[in-house]
Formats: sequence, structure tokens, C-alpha cells
Amino acid sequence: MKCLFWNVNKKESINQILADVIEENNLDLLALAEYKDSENELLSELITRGIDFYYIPQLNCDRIHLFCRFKPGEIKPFQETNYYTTKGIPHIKLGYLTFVFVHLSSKLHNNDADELLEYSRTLKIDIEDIEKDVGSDRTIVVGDFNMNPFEKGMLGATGLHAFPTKFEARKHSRTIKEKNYKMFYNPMWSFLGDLTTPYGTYHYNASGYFQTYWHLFDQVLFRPSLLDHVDVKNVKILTEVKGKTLVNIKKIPSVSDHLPIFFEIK
Amino acid sequence: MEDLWPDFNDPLEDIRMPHEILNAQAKFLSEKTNGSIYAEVIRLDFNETYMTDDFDEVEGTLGYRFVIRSRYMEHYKFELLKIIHDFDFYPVTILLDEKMCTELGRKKTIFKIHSEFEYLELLKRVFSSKRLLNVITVMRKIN
Repeated sequence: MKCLFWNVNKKESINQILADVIEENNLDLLALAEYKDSENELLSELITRGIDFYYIPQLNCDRIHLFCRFKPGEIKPFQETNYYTTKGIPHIKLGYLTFVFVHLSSKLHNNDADELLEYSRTLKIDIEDIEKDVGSDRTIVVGDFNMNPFEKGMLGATGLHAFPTKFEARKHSRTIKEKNYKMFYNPMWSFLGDLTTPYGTYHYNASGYFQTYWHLFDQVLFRPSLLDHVDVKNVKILTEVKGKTLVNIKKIPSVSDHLPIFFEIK
Repeated sequence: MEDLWPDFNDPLEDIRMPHEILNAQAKFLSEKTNGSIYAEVIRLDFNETYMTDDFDEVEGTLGYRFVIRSRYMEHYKFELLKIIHDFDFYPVTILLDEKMCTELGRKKTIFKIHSEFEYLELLKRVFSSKRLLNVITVMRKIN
């Protein structure tokens, strides 16, 4: 199953690029944040290219838009808030997977780091509640977290507890002060630093004593039960689509202020 | 030896716990919709720790989620709000749906309520909001 998430920054004419990205990557699932273009026009464009895609109608979370090869009736609606929506989506070999699509609020402009921390803590609880409800921990959490992988909300045990290595994540959980904390695997850690480009999915030129400029806000996390079906080499940050660049001359996102992330679940 | 303890009247007799108020409201919603749309109050499992603004972890927090559900959509839940408090009940930290906050003129989605009166006033506004009406309308249409 080939999936892509992209925060498209309310760009009004993005459908051609989206159709290109679906076609070039042979996607099964496209999840978007800040999408303002026409869903019907995108579907029409895909039909002209011989691609059968469906739009999954939103219920009460309007921050995420979903397009996929599966008919709406095949998608199971699970829990949602305004910041995330959860769906059961069928995988050809693995059965139903639980996808949690997130778009948390931005702290860079609102200076609400403690709010984000609270949301990641409650998101973790919500995810575990959903997993109990559906009877499965084959869970993927993907989207714009507005946090970097090393921030407390992502790495902390009472946050999403998302580890940089499969080696650690395979432990499934760890015990701290007699309490058990479930884990995720976060392959996005592999993109930190400048060994590879791009250096992140979002660039922000800010002042302050603690500043990285490049951020990895757009991430995908996997539960340990899915680790044998995920190859970190197939997790990518895209910088071009069908030869059209998504970055400027300084390699900073230019089409949207975020770059898309691609991942595959075999 | 002198008995140093005060005489205990039941101090909790007249105090309603915040989640008890939500439970009562959940019952009313079900009655109003003939059971097709209902609410659940779900206790949150914080593993008894809570992270404060200073990133310290403290013990002893109670939390509940108030979700709207439909009889016809087995696993679907829409979370309207969360409440978090310690054993003093108030202040209660509220985590409220973002669109609801916008409608109510609140800048932050996480804020504190300091008394039962304030809490009831907030709930009244939340339950009569356009946002909640939209949520329930959408859920009824899916039925």
C-alpha cells in the first residue's frame, strides 16, 4: 500500500500536481492537510488519466482530506476530533489497518508548545483507546504534528513515544516506575542532519536561542506490529513530482511550505 | 487523649464531580434523540501522571473524554471535549474542539474553569452551539 501525506498550505490550484504525484507514485492513498482546491476536479483529472480514485467524505474533522483507491463504503470511520481523523483502511494482505491522520496546531506562530504537548499526550491515549475498541494495534499515525521527532510530545513516554530505531521499537513497550508505555517506530529520525537532502519537510527562519531552521513536522509512525512490513528506505520526502520541482534554489519548499512524505506498507 | 479530628459531615454530599455532570448531560442527549445519537463519558487512563507546563510529571490526575456517538456507526466517536482535574475537582482543565472555541470566542483550545458555575455555563454554550448542531446533523445524515 503506497501512501502520501502533504500539507498543501491552502494552495488553490494544486490539483494538477496532486494528480501527478498520485500517478507517478502509483498511490493507493493520499492524505492532505490545508487542502482548498476542488475534490471533484481532482477526481475528474484522475479519471482522464485512467486512475480510479475516490474522495472519502469528511465527517466532523475538516483539517484532513482523504483520497484513495478504496470506495468510501470500504473505509471504516473511527474516532475523530478537529485535529485528527481515524479510519480503518483495508490492506490487501494485512486486512484492516488503523490510520490516524493528524494535523496539530502550529506552535511556531502561536507559541503554544505546552498546548501541543498536551495534545500529543491525549492523542496517545486516544490512539490506545481506538486500538482497544477495534481490537487491533496495526496502527499508523501520519500527518503534520507541528513537532520534530526529538521533541517531548513525539519521543516522551507519556507522549507518542516514537523511537528512531526498529531495534528499540520492537520491544513494543517499556516500563517506567511500574507503568507500561507502548511504543511507535518513527523512521523520520533518519532524515535529521545534512547527510541527505532535503533537510526536513518545513523550513522556518526564526530568531531565538534554540533554532534548527529545518523541521521534520510531517511524520509517519508505525506500531511495532507493522515493522516487518515497513522499509525505512521506502519512506521518502519528495522534492519533485514528474520533473517539476517542489523546492526553490535554496532547496526550501516552494509549492507549499511543506514537502510531502511518501511511505509504503508491504 | 484528646480526639484531634473534626466532626465529619459528608463533605462531598453537595458537590457534583465534573464527570457526573457530563454523565447526566449524556443521558439527556440520548433522550432528546430517541437514542439514535448519544454521548459517552470515557475515563482517560493517564497512567496516573500528568505533564505540567514545566515538563514535570505529577501524580493523581483524573480525566474524562466526552464523545458523541451514533447508534448506526459502530466505532465512530466524535470527541467534543476532555476534562482533566485533580482531586480538588476545580479548577478543571478543558480541552475543547477548536471550531467550538472559535464559535465561543475563545483563543485557546486548552483552558481552565474555576468553579461549577463556570463549568455549567460553558457546557450550556457548548451544547447549544452551531458546531455541535452540525456534528449531530452530519451524524444523523450518515444514518
